[in-house]
Amino acid sequence: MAINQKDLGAGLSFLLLALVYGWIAYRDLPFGVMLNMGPGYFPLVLCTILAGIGALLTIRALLAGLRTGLPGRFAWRPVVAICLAVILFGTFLRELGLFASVFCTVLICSLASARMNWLQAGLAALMLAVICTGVFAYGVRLPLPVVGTWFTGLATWTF
Amino acid sequence: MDLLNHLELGFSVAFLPINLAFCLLGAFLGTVIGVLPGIGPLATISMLLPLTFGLPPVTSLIMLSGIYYGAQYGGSTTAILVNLPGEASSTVTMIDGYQMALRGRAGPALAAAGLGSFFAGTVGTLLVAVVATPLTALTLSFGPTEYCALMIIGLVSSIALASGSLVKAIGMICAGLLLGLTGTDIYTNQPRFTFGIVDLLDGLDFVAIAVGVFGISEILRNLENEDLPRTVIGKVTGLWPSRDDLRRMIAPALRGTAIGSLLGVLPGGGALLSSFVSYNLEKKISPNSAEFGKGAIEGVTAPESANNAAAQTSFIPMLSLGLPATPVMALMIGAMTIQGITPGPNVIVDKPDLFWGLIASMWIGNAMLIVLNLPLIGIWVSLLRVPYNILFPAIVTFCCIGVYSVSNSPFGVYLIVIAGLVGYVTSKFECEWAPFFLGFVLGPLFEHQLRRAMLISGGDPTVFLTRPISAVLLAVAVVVLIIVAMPAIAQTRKQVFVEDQA
Repeated sequence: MAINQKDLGAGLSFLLLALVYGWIAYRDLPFGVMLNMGPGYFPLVLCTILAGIGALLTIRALLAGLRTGLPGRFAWRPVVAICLAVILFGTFLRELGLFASVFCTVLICSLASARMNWLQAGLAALMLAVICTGVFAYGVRLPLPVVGTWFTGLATWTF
Repeated sequence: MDLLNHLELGFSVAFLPINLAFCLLGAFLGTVIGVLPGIGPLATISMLLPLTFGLPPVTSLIMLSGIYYGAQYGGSTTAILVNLPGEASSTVTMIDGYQMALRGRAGPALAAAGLGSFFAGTVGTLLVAVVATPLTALTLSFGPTEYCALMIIGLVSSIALASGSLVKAIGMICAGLLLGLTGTDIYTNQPRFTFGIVDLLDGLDFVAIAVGVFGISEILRNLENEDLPRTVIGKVTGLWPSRDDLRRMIAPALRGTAIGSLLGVLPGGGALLSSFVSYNLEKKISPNSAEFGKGAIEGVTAPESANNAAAQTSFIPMLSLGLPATPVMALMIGAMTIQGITPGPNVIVDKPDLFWGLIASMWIGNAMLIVLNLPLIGIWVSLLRVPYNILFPAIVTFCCIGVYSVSNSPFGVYLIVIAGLVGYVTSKFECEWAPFFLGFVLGPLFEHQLRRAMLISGGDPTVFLTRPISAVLLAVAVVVLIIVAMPAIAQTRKQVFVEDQA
């Protein structure tokens, strides 16, 4: 069967968003009247339009006479490595502190590249950790801890 | 003369040593990040936004616009030297710029881009200064109905300016409007679409989404074909263009500036369209049209002038109406709000020093770019030589730090991941994100004005047609929509964007 995958993907994404948000708006938010629009009025109108567009794209894609695949391959390795690195950064910034967080983020991120080389990545991570700490924590004084809560305890215990 | 007094006030503010220093720093940092392939002005500003938090309002806005020009200009450097678009609007510069570089004329190509941009920036800035006061006076009489109509024009023209399928662009706008509504409803205090997450009560974080879509997903796309060889033009010699080159640059620069200035005022990505349009125009009418695609200096000058002029005039709707015409302007508005300034027609009255200082610094910023870029070209070249597998972890890290310091919670950082993934997947479906961001920014504003308009008119939707200004604006929107949808225009439109992209 001939399917235009790009349009199908876009159409289904729009439909999904419209249905989920439309359902939430319908269930939780009062619609109101035109004179005094409730919090659900505008969202529901938008969801209706969006669902229409999604449906149009989906149907058009299913009827299309030309099979068009998606461009490029899906970059699994980069997706996993980069998402992991970013999530870890967000979750453990307070605990690790800026210096260690940047070091770990850069290191994990580097795994995204097939040409990754531990020595090079380690050096880059160290350099970036120094630069970021210097610029963001000491330079522009963002309120980010340089040393995280995990290490402050360690420091008082050692010395 | 009023204008001269205003400009004098502006320059007295902009020439304060602290403002000069931060303008220079902004332009420098903007170029450093903007030179990196795939990182456009929006991602650059999002990343560097936290650097401006500690500064006084005027200085921070001046620095931000410095970053904006730097990023814009850095993109052209990448296009010419590496044949990678640093940002969408320098895609066209790549065609002839890289060819010139291959023929050992990288220097003149860079100089052409720089001089063209500077000229366009000067004209654009003057235009902003001239138009700002009368336009602001006009808009002070605008009520909610007129604002709604104005925003509809904005949304419609962003459909027109999107380069892909029209239906998808409309879909992306609706999705943007919808997601923009996330957070507490200001009329009823009811949380909407927050899924019980406290961080969402204030809405989705614009910076995080922008960084995710334009930073992370771009990196993912680049990593797909890591093995493609990249040739960085190693040496840049003979920077100054010859007398003949200069002569050939004048007319394209003028035409590019005119096109860019006009299209830049339109909401939703005028910079991109204007560079395509001016390139195609030059290709048609230039006496050297045979050289296009093989390193014609006109093919670098025209689009660079156009996109810089557009970058300049896109400030007009933001400064005079408080309406963001592009996602970058939305970030500027965000930055103003953080500094405690409500953007809109009142700024020019309440804070003339800020308003005119910003305008004056636009020109200074452009001048600095020339001073900065041409002599420092060696630095940018060496930056481009850094292997990508060292660059991208650095970009990801800057993104994380930037977003964390804006949102001050892990949630903002998680949002980067979600936005990055969604952006990556939808890029496979050829969905464009510029219309989404316009919708996202205008969503809450539009709903607010719509509800006000309905309250005032007693629930009568015909008020949009009976009030003269709004009727005219809506008529314009309808005309634009019809023109865009006409099959003949749709065909040419497709050509404008696709023809030279290969």
